[in-house]
Amino acid sequence: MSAPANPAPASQTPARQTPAPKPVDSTLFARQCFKLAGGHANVTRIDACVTRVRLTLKDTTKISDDRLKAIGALALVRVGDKYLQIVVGPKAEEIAKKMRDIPVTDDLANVEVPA
Amino acid sequence: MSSTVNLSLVAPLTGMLLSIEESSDPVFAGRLIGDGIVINPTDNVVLAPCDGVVSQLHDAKHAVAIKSDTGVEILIHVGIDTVMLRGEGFNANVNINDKVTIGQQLMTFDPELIKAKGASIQTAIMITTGETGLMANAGTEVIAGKNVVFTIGGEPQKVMSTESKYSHHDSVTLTEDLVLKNPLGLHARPSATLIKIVKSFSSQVQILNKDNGKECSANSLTALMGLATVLGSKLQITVTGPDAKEAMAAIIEGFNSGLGEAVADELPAEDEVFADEPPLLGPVAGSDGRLPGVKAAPGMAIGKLFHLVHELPDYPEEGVGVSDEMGQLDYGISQANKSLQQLVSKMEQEHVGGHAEVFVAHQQLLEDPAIRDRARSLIEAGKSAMWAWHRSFLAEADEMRKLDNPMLAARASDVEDVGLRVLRILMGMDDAGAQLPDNTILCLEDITPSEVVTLDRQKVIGIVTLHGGATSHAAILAGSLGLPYLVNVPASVRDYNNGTDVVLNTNRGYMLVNPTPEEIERTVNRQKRAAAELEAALKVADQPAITLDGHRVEVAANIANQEDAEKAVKLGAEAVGLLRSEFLYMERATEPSLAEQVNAYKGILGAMGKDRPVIIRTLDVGGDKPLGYLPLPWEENPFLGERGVRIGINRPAVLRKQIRAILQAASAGHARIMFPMISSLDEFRAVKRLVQDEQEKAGVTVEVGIMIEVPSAALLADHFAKEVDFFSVGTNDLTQYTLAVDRGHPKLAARVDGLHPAVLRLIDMTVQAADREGKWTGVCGGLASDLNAVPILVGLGVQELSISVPAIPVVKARVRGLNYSECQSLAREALTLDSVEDVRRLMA
Repeated sequence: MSAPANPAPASQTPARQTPAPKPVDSTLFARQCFKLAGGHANVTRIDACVTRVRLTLKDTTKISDDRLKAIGALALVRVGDKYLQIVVGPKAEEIAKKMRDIPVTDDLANVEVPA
Repeated sequence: MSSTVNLSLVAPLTGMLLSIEESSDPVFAGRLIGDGIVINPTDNVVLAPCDGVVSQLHDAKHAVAIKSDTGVEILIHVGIDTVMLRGEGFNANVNINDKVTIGQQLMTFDPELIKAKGASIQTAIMITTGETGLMANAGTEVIAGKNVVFTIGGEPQKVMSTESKYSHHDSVTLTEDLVLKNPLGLHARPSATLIKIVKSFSSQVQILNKDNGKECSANSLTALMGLATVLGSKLQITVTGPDAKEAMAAIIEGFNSGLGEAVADELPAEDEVFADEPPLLGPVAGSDGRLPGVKAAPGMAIGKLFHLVHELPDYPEEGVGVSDEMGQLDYGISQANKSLQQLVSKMEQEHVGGHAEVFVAHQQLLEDPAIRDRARSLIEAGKSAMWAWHRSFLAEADEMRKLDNPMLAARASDVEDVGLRVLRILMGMDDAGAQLPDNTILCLEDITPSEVVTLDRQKVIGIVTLHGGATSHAAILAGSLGLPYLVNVPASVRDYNNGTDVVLNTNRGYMLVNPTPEEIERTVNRQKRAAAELEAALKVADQPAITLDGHRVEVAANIANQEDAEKAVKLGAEAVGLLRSEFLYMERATEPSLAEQVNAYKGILGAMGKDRPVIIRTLDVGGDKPLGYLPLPWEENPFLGERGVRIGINRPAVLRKQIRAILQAASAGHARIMFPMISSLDEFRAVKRLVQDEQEKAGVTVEVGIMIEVPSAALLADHFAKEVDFFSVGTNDLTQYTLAVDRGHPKLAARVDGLHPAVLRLIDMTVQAADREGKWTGVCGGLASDLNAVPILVGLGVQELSISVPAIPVVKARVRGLNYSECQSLAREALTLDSVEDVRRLMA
């Protein structure tokens, strides 16, 4: 993974059990995350709340927790077989917006993600 | 569960200390309220188990909760089913919010009296805030205020001494099959005995019911009861662990000896098998693709079936981090609040704002700290917001159901409705309906009022549910929104896939699956005809309803509020034949003040004007539709219980207040008073006296009539006619009481048809009795808006038809097309027939 450009988002209250957020570039993260989530073919809805990007997916079984954590996700919360919440910290809204802005024509072929 | 607090509880009572699982109450035993202990008291004084504040003191005085300084709440529930005693035999020594110290006396009770009433004094002490802990001194006699009985946040339970004898490698798995001999299956007592056996070993024990595939671990009472076992169930026992062999032997021995119950050694001989047969009467569910149901909201629709299943997805129990999960919880609650606010605004825009109180009440529930605080402490203990919230609101709802009166039980479903709203937000679930196809006929188990309002009506054109009531709040809302709604459709509807073509005709009480092109065409034509008739009728809605031969029938409206009154005037209502005044009283915590009532009546009377009389029916509630501030005891059969006028007779102050309000508002228009559920003359005379009393004080006189909805009132109509000013026949109740069929009954409701000749004869008796005394008779039940019934009612001499507001123009048009003398002969003929089918054929 290339070195992130932005400083780390500060956690508002140091949580007893929250892992420390890694520094993440929201544009790169949005694109990598969207690719790992299966792109337009798999993602049916993108939402955000406080610290989490919330995705509604056609199929969550192929999504790898480890690969999402490798690009900077703090934690993954799976709800049923359609919903995936990616804990990213206070930038969730911004990242979700950037994910929504990825055009349908973009096949994300140029986005590199860790294997 | 790990816990962040340390707290020791001393015995609040002297007596034998038992595990919570040994409680005779399966809800307590299953830890549905929380972890805790049970004491079989030998004394009658309850002491505080720790320092804290009295956070709950039940009205019935049998339950008290102490909140410790560390935020742990301990509920002391004295006795089983003692809520029924409503305080009798209990004496509280503290008040809510009192500070108490450990060992302080909280209450006393009278064990002899409680036992004499058939209740148990076994007392459960439970942690309601989610913490778990360890019992001390189990199985011994503990002294109140002296012995520690329970510690929260202590060391994990000492490992069983047997375990040390075995190394990990000794773990084995054994499986045995057996046939259950307990006559009632694994109900609470044998399950508890089994758990006791299992707990004395360190092995894990799984029980599989091979007859239905259900499986569970044999350490939970509710799970074991959930196996749905019966006498003769084939079970498979799987034991895994170091002492599996000994455990299996003990379990098999336990089952063989009946788990504490007497069992027969031999299973009963197989009985002769009688093949299932379809019912002898009525349509067979699913035959010719016709699924019967009960009309909850009128209409027809052609569309595609879509099943909406309220199954919650799995979600993690463990939280990501305390502050993150706290943020989630706050977000979920504030989003839910916002969505409720939007819902209320949407309802106001759609002119059904009168029904919005229920969602304002939901917002208040969200602000109630009880659920939120409990969820917070669970999150602090490391749980996810979803898990914490879900558990908290279910526990709150359970407590409401368990500890209180029918009113709180009704609130429990509100707690669940609003709780699920937050949970769905926390789960990030799509709004229901987002991916519905066009022309959806939605099929659900049941539907809540908030779901009805939030339906995407661009897509949904009709609703069917497997359960639910034809007169529920959801049904009324569906009607106001013009959505046809059929309840109690058979479960076989689930056999049809999403997208199946269906024709819904709630007016005739069925849904047709996979209709033929001819059947679709017939429905389309029916819809077109109905639409054309409505359009034509609307144009002349303000014209009177006079038959071809010059007989005038008054067409009036059934309404619930001022909004309805205004609509009714626009659609040509000549009067209000039924103002359901209970809508003034429902969905609120206190009785409306006199001024509030006067204002509400003035608004409605003013909207109708002096020329359009308004019949105000006095408060008509009962055990089936309870009020928050008017607790009514649970009744075996509310339809035969304290209902309608009986409430006013037993609580004259409530009735007097309403009558005074009506009289004070009377000058705003033309008011009439009507009493519901009158069955005997003494009832009418008693309430009439109260009215006369108030009339004298107010110097105002109004006409006073009664509903004819109990057969005895129709049979005595000649006597009543001398004393009342008018009759109004409530055909829905008159039919259910005459035929002795619950009109909401899933299997029987289709037989509740007001055109039954027995009902027609009672209406005939009523009209004739009124005519002889120069009084008039109206009909305000559902039959009056049945276009096939209108000619018979007119022919029987009914002078006023009072119907739901949207039906007014069409019923007026129907009357204009009739010939009165023909209707009279038709009615005479109907009275001679012996079945409702023959009457329906006569009208076809």
